[in-house]
Amino acid sequence: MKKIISLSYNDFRNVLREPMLIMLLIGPVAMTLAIRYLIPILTNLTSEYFDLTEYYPLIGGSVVLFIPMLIGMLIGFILLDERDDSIFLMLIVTPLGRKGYLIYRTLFPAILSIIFSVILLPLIGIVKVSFIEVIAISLLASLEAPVTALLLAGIANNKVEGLAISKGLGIFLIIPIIAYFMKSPWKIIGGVIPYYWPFNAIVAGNQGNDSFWLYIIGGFIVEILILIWLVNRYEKKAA
Amino acid sequence: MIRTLKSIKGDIFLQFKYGFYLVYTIVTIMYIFLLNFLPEEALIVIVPFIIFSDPSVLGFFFISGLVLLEKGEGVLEYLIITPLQVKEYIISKLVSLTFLSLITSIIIEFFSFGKNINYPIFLVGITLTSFLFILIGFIAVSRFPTINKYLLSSVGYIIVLCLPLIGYFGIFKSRLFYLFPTQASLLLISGAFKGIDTWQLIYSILYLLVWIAATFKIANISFYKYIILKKGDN
Repeated sequence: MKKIISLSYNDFRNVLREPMLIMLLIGPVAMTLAIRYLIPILTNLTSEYFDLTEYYPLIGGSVVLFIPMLIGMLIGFILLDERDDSIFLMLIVTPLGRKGYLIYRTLFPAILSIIFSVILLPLIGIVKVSFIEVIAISLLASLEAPVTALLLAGIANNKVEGLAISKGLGIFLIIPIIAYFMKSPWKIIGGVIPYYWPFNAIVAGNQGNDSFWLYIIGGFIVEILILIWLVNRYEKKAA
Repeated sequence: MIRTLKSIKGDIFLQFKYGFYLVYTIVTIMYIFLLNFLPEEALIVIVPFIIFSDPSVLGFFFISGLVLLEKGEGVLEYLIITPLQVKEYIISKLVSLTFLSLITSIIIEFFSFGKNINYPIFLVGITLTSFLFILIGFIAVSRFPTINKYLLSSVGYIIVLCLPLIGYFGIFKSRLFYLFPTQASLLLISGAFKGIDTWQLIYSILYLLVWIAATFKIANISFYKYIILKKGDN
């Protein structure tokens, strides 16, 4: 009996050992459902004071960023953990190699993010964009996953600095929102922040604005440049 | 005592080097900027909420990385052969991180609300809240070998600990919230802004102290068991 209990305990622990995977799946779905069902309720509650529907594109824009950011942060901490504990040294001497290791660690989150965005974006129910636009936004936003992962692993020297940076990432999310309320053309400076582009693409797409494709194309250019820069930084640090 | 003070100084220096102070300078500026848009009636509710939800608990967020990094680098193994005791190690982390909490909170309060509040209650509230959250972090990090696991598992108990916020925002009132230590935190921090009854003040301080004493004990034990003896490592 004791053996069975200790074995069951071990099984139980093995499941719990990867709570990360569970969270990775549950997190975005839970948030999508929460927004789909709670936002209309909140809109009713606050309708006396202000019209929340005006802010729907902002909420939609944040959701689009949330999914790749969450995935990117998880991967970023894995990269940092593996570097801190020198595990990646063992991985890069396998046939996978240095490039293979980085591709393996960044491509997976990007693909996961595309799948999530394409399925969940229409389910949020508060942004009105066509299917083609959903695909374009999902592809652009998915780049945020490797960007976020490498923002942590390429800039931080260790996991503690990674934590500090992840705290700062919240600000990156606020800047596009502030830019949204600004009338000045200088708000384009916000474009140095990768998250600026998918966020604005959603906002523009929701208004049926032609600038939608400008944000998509501009976003791809900016994000790929940032990604190249971050990969270089990461490789230098990992050397 | 001198040993602990030196350790605190070292911890603060390292935390500065790791960028905690830089990040919190930016975060603080951002909060002050955003709070400027709110009317005064809203500030008296929102400012204590922000102080409670961010600066007061920043230690909880950072402690995982600090302990895991020191564990990974083998610093902790050297630590146990120095005279510095586990108790002093924990105290040093408590004080150094709470120092950042206090500075950030005071600056946010000063530049967003700006009126005279009851500073002794304010500072006591933040200090006790910060101590409690760091100790909970200590207990949690002893069991979780990576930051991801720590952060994701912490979602659960952070949600539970934040339940008194439902009462704070007046969505649903219940005396049951008084069972949560965070209810005491909220009473103290917001009490500094809009006043607090004597019985609430006594309850809050005593209740938080009880929780801190208990979690300090558990943190010591689990830290020794899981980090130093490395039981349950995989």
